[in-house]
Amino acid sequence: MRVLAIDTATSQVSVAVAVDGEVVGQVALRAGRRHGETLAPAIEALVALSGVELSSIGRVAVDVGPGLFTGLRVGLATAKALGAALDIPVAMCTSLDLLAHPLHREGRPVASVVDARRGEVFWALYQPAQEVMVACGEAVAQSPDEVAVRLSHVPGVLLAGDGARRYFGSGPFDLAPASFDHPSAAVLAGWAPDLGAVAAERVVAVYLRGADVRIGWEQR
Amino acid sequence: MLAIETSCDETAAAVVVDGREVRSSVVSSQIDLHAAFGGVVPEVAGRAHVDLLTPVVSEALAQAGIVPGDLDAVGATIGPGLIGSLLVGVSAAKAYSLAWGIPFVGVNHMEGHLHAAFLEDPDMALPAVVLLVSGGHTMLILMTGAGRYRLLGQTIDDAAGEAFDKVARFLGLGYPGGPVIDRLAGTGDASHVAFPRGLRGQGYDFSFSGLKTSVINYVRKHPEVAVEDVAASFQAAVVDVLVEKLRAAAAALDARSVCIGGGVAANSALRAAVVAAASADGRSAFIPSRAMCTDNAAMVGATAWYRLRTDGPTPLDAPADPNLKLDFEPA
Ligand SMILES: [Zn+2]
Repeated sequence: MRVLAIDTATSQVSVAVAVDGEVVGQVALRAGRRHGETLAPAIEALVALSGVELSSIGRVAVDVGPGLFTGLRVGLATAKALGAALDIPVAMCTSLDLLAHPLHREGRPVASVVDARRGEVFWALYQPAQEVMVACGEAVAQSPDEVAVRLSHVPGVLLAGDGARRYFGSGPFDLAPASFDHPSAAVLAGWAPDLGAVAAERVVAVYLRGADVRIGWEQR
Repeated sequence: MLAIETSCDETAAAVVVDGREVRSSVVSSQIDLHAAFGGVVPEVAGRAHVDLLTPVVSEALAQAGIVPGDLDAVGATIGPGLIGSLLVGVSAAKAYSLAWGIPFVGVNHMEGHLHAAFLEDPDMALPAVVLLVSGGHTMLILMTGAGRYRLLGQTIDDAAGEAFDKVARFLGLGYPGGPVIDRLAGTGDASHVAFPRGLRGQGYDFSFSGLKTSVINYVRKHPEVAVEDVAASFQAAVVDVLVEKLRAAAAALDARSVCIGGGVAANSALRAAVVAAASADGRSAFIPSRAMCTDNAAMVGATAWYRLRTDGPTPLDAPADPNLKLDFEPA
């Protein structure tokens, strides 16, 4: 199966193509907040350079968050439109699962920590099992101090994600290498055949934070 | 042409042939989602667009009875509007463009409103003076041809629709304010209170914030007043000033037609007053259907078709622009 994977949950935009679980091409950009301007051209370039035509794709995979709301909107709108347009299913994966998954080889507990801005992180704790990471409890939005208290009781824990880099970059925990600061579309593309997939219209974001309901009287 | 509109709180898609023939136009309103907050909440709107857009596009294609292979291009509103809302439609349109190998065309929402009239009356006589009134904009525009516009005046504070929403909220009438004030005004006395007409006789700019304040002050001072009479008097003040300036501009510029657009153009008092004024002045009036006045994707499709021929496709790295300006000719 050919998979196109999309990740826009953090300040990085990444896309990748895998054929039968093997990644044959990827593009990763530090987009800042320019997800809407970089994602479509990144897919266009990936398709052109990898030679894998969109019409031959059998599944789209997308990181559904938690993460930057604006980035998620761009990624989900794109993945859902691609799934609907090509009439193929879409696999969903959370940013936290995606960060932890490739670290299962380390054989130690992993905390995925994504920067949620406003002094908070989205995070979850995982324990290694055979070939997979198993989440311990729910993913939540908390302050770095709350995370530190919890993790102080988890010996040997390894941290991944841009929230970990931002708040725990100078200790006291072990951090995975910088290549694990952002979820990776390449990892997702390779993993997607093992994930469930749904029809495009059933793909929903994981926000982990309610909408700010202050009213904007901006220009229409 | 498949067209997508997500600039504010309507998720809309349409299929338009040759910029004129509307094969389908689907609008999914989020009014119920925002009513509890008394106005459009940007983050709520953005999230809802993500959930609603794919089914709305599928519905537009199904109603039009076409398959993707029949499509020549996909257009979407690229601004102005709420950034989180615009991004959803723009991202999806770019994805449809990639998936089907057809050009993407970014459309200015305001130009969409200006083209809406042509969808229902391709023979509208030009030059025309167009009054665009909604919750986000109040503009008087001279249109001399497709793509040729001159801005004559605009609001210096609140938009006309914003005044309706704020007055309705103060009167406890809920959101959106336009339809409920329109309905109540039908049984009220429009001459009950002489509310101020902002910037009357002073060029083509508008001001509605003084009117809103004076409605609030009046009701606080006269709590016994019937809400129908306040609604009718307030609506008359808005309509008077809109029509007076539309009329003055049409006369000064020797326009052959007058036209209205935007959500407030669905107001029945405004529609009647514009028709009456135009017929008294010997001009033709073009009053689009209510569905074409409020935000829809058919107008985006008509504009995208025109822009594709004049400007070509829009690059896929084009940003959504919440403050996108219309390209006006110098006065
Ligand atoms: Zn509008």
